Amino acid sequence: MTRLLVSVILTSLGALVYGLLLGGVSRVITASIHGRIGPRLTQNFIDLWKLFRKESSIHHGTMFWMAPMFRLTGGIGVLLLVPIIAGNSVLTNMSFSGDLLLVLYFMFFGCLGMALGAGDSGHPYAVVAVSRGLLQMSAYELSFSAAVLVLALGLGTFSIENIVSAQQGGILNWNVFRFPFATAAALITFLPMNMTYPFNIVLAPQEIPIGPPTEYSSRFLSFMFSGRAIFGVAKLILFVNLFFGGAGSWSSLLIKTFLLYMYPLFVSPVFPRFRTEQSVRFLWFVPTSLVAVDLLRVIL
Amino acid sequence: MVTALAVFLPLLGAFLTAWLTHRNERLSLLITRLFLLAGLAAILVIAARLGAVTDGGLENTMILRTGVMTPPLSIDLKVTGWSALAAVVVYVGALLGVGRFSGRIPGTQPLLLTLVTTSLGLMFATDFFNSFVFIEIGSIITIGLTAAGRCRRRWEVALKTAMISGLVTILYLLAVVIVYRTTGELRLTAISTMTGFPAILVSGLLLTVIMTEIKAFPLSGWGLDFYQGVDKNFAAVYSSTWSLAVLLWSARMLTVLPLPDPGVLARIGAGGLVLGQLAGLRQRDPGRMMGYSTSAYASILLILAGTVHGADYLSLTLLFFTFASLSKTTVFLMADPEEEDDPWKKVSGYVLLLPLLCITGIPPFPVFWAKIRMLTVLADISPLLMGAVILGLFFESVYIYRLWSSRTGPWQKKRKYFDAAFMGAALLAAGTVWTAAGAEQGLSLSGELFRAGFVRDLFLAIFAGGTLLSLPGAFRGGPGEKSPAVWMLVSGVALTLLPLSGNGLTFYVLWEISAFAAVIGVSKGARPSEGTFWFAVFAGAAGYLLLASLVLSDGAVSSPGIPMLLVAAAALLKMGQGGAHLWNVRAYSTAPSTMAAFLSGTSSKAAVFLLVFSASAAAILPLGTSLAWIGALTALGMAAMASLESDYKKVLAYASVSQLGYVIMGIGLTSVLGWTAAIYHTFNHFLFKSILFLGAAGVIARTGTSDYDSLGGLVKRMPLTFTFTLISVIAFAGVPPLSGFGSKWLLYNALVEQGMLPLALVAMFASVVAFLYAFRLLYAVFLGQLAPRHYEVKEAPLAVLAPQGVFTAVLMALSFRPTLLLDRLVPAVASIAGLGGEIPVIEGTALSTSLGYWDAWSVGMMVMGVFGFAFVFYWISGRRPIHVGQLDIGFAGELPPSPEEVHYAGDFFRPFRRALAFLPEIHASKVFGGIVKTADLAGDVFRSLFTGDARTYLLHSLIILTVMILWMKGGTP
Repeated sequence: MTRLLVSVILTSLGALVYGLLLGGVSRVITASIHGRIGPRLTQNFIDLWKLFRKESSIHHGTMFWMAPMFRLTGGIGVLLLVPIIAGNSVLTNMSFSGDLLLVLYFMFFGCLGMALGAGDSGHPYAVVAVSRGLLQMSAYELSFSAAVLVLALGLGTFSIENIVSAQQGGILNWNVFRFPFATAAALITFLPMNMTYPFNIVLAPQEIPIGPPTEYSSRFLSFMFSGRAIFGVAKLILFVNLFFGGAGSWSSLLIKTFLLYMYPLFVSPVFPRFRTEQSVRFLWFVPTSLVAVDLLRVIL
Repeated sequence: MVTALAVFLPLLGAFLTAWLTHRNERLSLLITRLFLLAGLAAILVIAARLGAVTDGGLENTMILRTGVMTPPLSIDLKVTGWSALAAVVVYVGALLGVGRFSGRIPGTQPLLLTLVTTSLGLMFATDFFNSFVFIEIGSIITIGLTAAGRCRRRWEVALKTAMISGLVTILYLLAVVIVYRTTGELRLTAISTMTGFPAILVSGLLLTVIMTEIKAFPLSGWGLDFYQGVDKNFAAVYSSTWSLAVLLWSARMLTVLPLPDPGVLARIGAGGLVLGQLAGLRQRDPGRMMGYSTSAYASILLILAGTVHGADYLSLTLLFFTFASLSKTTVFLMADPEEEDDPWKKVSGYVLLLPLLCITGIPPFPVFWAKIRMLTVLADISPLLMGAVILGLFFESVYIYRLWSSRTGPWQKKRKYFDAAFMGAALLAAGTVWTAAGAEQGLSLSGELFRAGFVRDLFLAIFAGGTLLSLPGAFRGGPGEKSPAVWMLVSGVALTLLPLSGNGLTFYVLWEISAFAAVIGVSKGARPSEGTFWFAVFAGAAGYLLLASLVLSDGAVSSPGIPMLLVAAAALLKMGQGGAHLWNVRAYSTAPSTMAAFLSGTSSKAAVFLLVFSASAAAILPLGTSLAWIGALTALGMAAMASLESDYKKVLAYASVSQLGYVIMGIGLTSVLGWTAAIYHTFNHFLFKSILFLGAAGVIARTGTSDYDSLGGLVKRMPLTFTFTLISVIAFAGVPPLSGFGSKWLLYNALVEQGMLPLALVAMFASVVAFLYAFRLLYAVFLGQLAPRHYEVKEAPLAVLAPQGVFTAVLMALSFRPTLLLDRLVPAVASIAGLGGEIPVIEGTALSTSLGYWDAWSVGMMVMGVFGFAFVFYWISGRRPIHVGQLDIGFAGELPPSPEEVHYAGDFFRPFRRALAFLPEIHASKVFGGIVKTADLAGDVFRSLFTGDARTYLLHSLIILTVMILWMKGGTP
């Protein structure tokens, strides 16, 4: 029990640090793409600390108040349900509690909490963003879950551990090569999952200030910030486990997640933003059609 | 002596009142009543002497000779137990109607009394010439009394009746001449010995006479005009006297007609029933509806004459026609005598419902027992014929429901007029009890129609618990609603008894009682008419499908093949699957909210129960995969509809149907995992839909609206309702750690186990779309800005809040410890024969299959732990913020104009609508509208036969005569 508790705390803190660091890297790279000097690598840590130390002096209701906690719980929960390093019994955390299906559905937990908080804030922009976000989520979840189901059917398991072990024994066993179309679809959905261009309709600067957290500030925002950073890392690890052979060691985990994190960075800056219905339709049809190819291969 | 009194007392009274009329009207009316009562007493004595109500008593006979000579020179009457009972109804009908009719049109008492004697005479007549005399007198009196209203419309009707009577007389006399010429006698039974062309000729002539007189399709045109145009009080008397007499005389004649093949009567009847009732579908005038219904009963007589024999024939004709006549009388008595233009304006209430349910043969009303017996006989002869009859009866029920739903309203002031109607309804109620007690195949609550065990007990708990917990809130209706409590209770008790049914008939009777009590409950809503009608139609259709299945499978609730398919179709209709959600949406949104909670949470589970148990009894579920697809597509389509809908109750209705789609999907898989998922989800659905609808009931009770645009911010005023709603929303959305995830986990395992990936994908998409309406519901009602008019709103009434608390407690227990249910459910499902696939393994709190695993307890603990940590950390790490006013938001440095303008709720998912724009718009209302229109158009073809011109009707009779004679003659010279 104590070991589990220590593992849980260390994993969460580690993910927070790693997530903030990745954020910093992305800000630096984006700045150089833009030709700016940009913030420093540790700017996210500074921001978080600054936000955390400022008092939140007002709130709009119970759900508004609790949403940051929901967000944080959602992020940490997903992280804990995914085995971090294959075969490392210390870092399995809570992954014995459920399989891939549980992870898929638990990913909604934080989103729902966030949406409720935004709703309780009574700010129309926050709710417009939630409406967009939910729509887009319903669209990318279709193709992402399709990709996951193809994997599950092809490998005959919903267990992440088993999916990882099925990919061992050579790079060609990785699902990215066994199910290339499903992986491609999942990688497309990775963009809206991380709210990057052309799918950043939720935070959508210039349209709706910062989307759902419009009314949030200071300490509330620091919780959300942390939740988002941890959730981002959890998604990275999940993708690595599902499609890229999992991580057998710390180094492979860091390399794979780092490369995966960099991928949107090089794709998104060259696209303009979709309108909501364009994004939704794109996600309904393009990645899902890709999955269909692998689906047919699996069924036949 | 008593026999003579029973028949001729009214005639004596006629002479007396003829003298009194215009001298002392009140005395005349009193004497009329006294004579009728005396006659009734006499006929009751005769019926008792004949032992009419005992077994075989219907055939006991008593002969009354009125002269020294033999017929036709004297009148010989043969009273049987059968006709004596019918005579009782003749007297009762006359007694019920006389006050209203003769009271308003003075001077009609003598004719009315004579009509009673004539009716009895015709029923008891044994000879052609006697019958002729009675038919003539009866027709003339009918014409006279029809014209007695002294207005142009009545005269028109009287003239039409006279013209038809003229033709009938001619044809009848021609037949009599041929009979006498061929057999040398005039006994009615003499014709059965006739052969050759004379037999054909007589059969053709008499069949035309009978079909015209009893108003069988297509010779029913004059009858429709008659019932529409005649004085409603006379129609009341006429239905139970002359109309009944003619039916029973025809019933006797039809059995002795020397037809080459009596089976043809059944085919004419069944064809007439379908086409005639199809023509009636569009009918809106209550009088004319009753005309169509009369035509339906005429067709039933033909069917019975062609298929049923002996004692069965006697009891069936008696049950059908006496109760239908009495019901019709009661309906007509509800028209307002003082309204010349539309006498039906004031028809309303339960007193109308009783006769209408009697006419449509809904159990346990008397006609039902006859109907099921007839259908059983027909099923043995030809399932096709049975199907046609059921279709025809369904058409009849559609316009009868419309009559009821369109005339249901607040009880009107002129109550004194309805005394007779009350009495008629009371008699019908007594008849219902009497016939149900004496039913041939008894109702039984013992026996093992459904295998006892955990699954059965679970449904029992759902039905009983759901009823008890929905009930407290139902005692007080919401704004503009009346209390549906009594009907919810009736429906709930019937539901609770369902799993205990001892035989198929009991199951069916309970099913129908539950459905129609619920229909009445729905009619208590603020704007009930449309919802009630569609609910009744769909419930009726499901009932008829179930009935057909029951009859075809010989009393078991199902057997393989067609009966099982019919059961599946009935269950789908009941659950609103595959496009049948039309009724759910309309009924739930117009019903009292607590009634909707009961319907969606509890009552819909009856269909799951039926499907699960009949499929397991039959050890087969044909087209299981198709069923699963229907469920999946319904789940997806309804979720999308719910996301775009802006009415609180409609959203819940769509959501309810959508969630039931998963249940159907699971059942369709016919595997242990699939069924475990289905039943587990059924229980979940029971919990969260009850909470949601009861929550809606509270909100609507307090705010008076169910429109998203007018709601919002209620979390500040109704925090408990919000909490319960939030928990059930998270549960049905399938978000761990709450219980909805469990059923989805099981379902995906079942789907992937069978390699049904496309189906799994649709299910998953549906469950993601469910987030859309789930959030919108929470936001639009409870979050966002509170409208100023709701500043003073209080928390929901305790009567709906407390049950929600109970449901939520169970839901939470099930969320954290699903094994409480699954420990018993999994072995119970695994023991059902015919289910394949893997059995999930339960170890401690974890559940696993060969595909994956899930431990609800540890997930729950993890969430609680992390959330608790975050909460405490926030709490201790700094100062607590203060709550500010709802308009205190960052709004470009301005003060927001008003809460309503800031609350973004209407057309919330506009981009979703735009993204879906590539799909053709298919609305269930349009599909069903199309079906209705097609049926109407088809009906119009046959309706156009009824031109309203008596000459056309004469032509119809002659054409039918010619066709029948030519057809019977066949190729012989």
